Amino acid sequence: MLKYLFAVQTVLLLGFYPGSVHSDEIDLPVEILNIDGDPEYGEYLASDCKTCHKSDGGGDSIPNIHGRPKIQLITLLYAYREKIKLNPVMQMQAGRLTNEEIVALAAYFEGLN
Amino acid sequence: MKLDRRNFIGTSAAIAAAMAAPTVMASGKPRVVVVGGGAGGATAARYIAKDSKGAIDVTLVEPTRNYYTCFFSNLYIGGFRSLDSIGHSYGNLATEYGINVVHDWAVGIDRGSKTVTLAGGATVNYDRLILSPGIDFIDGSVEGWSINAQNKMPHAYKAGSQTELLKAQIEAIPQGGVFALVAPPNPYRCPPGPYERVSMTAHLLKYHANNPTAKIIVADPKPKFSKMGLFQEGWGNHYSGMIDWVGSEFGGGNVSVDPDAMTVTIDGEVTKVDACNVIPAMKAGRICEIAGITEGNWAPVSGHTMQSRVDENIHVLGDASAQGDMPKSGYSANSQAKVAAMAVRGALTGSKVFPAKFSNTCWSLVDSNDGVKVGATYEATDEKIAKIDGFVSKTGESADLRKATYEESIDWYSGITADMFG
Ligand SMILES: Cc1cc2nc3c(=O)[nH]c(=O)nc-3n(C[C@H](O)[C@H](O)[C@H](O)COP(=O)(O)OP(=O)(O)OC[C@H]3O[C@@H](n4cnc5c(N)ncnc54)[C@H](O)[C@@H]3O)c2cc1C
Repeated sequence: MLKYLFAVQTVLLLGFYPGSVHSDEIDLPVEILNIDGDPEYGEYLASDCKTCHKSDGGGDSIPNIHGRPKIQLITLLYAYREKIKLNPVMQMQAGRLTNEEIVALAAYFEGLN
Repeated sequence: MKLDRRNFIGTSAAIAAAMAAPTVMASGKPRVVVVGGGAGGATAARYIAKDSKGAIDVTLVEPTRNYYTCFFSNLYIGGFRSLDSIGHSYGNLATEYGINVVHDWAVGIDRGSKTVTLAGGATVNYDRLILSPGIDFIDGSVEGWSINAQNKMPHAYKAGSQTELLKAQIEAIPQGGVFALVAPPNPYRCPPGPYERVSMTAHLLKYHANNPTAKIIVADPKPKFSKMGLFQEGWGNHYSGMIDWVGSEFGGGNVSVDPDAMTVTIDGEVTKVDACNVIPAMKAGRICEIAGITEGNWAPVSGHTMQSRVDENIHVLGDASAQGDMPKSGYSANSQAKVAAMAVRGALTGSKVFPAKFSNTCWSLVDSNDGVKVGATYEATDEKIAKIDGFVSKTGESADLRKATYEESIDWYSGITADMFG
């Protein structure tokens, strides 16, 4: 396991969910960091995200994730999947993603502006 | 949008698809017709047009020029939203995505010649047809009620003027008067919808109509309902003494109405009411029956592609489809539309097709800043769309969490309507 340090201010940017653990450290397994995401697959998977996440003017509760750095999205999705971050919708969505799918999504969203 | 000839010719699979379908060669591009511009249809039209980058001709047939979402229409009743804020036009779909938006009704479908006839008399050809017409009501399902009586006892289960009418009638209830809601049997659109409506009606009466002594009676043919514990907790907390829910064990299913006398009879007991919301039993939008693709009240589909089990050139989305475990919701229709759009593009232009994945979350508002939600993920099996995992809000949650849930629903609304209409 590689200890990936997650910047505190980034976590705060991601919105406050009552009861959330505002951990500033997430343990990302090293194998995730070695995957090259398939953006085409990411684009299909991302259609599910776009029901709620807008490409412009996202809200405080459901932020705009278009163009976010890949590492940030990987960390977040991983944290939701492992139930480190608490929102039940996001835990459910991330809960079915494999490591490859997490990276594919993150790669796709990073490529959008 | 112009056809990019190099792109088109460069895609060998697209050529193969074109050769296989003579109508495609005739018009130059494969044609998709979408009937119904709601949660399923608008999303499907937009995704096919957007992702095919002009390689597919998309026609959207929808009679209304302004689509009022049923989602958040209860919040309009409760005074949390304006009617304007839940109305959406099709302008962007035409201008930004090149979709041929035709404001008309589809009245006939010839599956042999693959044509759709419109009420205005024109016919449109398709290579693939997508039907997302929502619901119609089953005649005679509530004794005494018919579509002729919808002005006296509105359903408000297709949003717009019906919703306005219902709200006005609730506001006109005299001090301490009676409101009745006749709930539908399963399956129906938006499982928590009637109960969110009860909550928003109570809110309107208590806080806006200055009528906290009014009574709400719910006649329900079911023994239990979606998010029941959460709603009942909220009704106790916020609207104590206002709401009387009569479930099937207590005769809630044995109900008839008299719209002229304004009475509701539940299990033999006649009650004079000041306003009444009748939500009848539902079936797939009638055009599915006309197309000959229904079995019973709904149109069965394969979860892998949302293709009709009767005709592989037709995909059925949203409320009209019988697909398995997903609730009939706007979120579900939107999720199914993306799977269908991918399958249609794959079939017509040879684009890559991935395994179908679906999800749904339904937020409901009980009172100011008291939001609850239920959600699940799904996958396609050969038999149906099957639930994988899910969650539901819990009773006794903190006020902060409930407020966050409500705020999340506002962002969801903004997200899904942008995803439908661009
Ligand atoms: C009170 C209420 C609250 C709700 N709240 C929520 C919620 O919070 N979240 C949620 O996800 N869902 C909610 N829903 C459910 C949601 O509105 C529906 O499930 C969703 O709209 C279904 O999408 P659809 O595409 O199947 O049908 P619709 O969105 O109803 O669209 C069907 C369209 O087809 C058109 N049409 C019908 N027949 C024809 C024809 N012959 N030719 C051409 N056009 C035709 C209609 O004009 C209509 O615009 C709610 C519903 C109600 C009633």
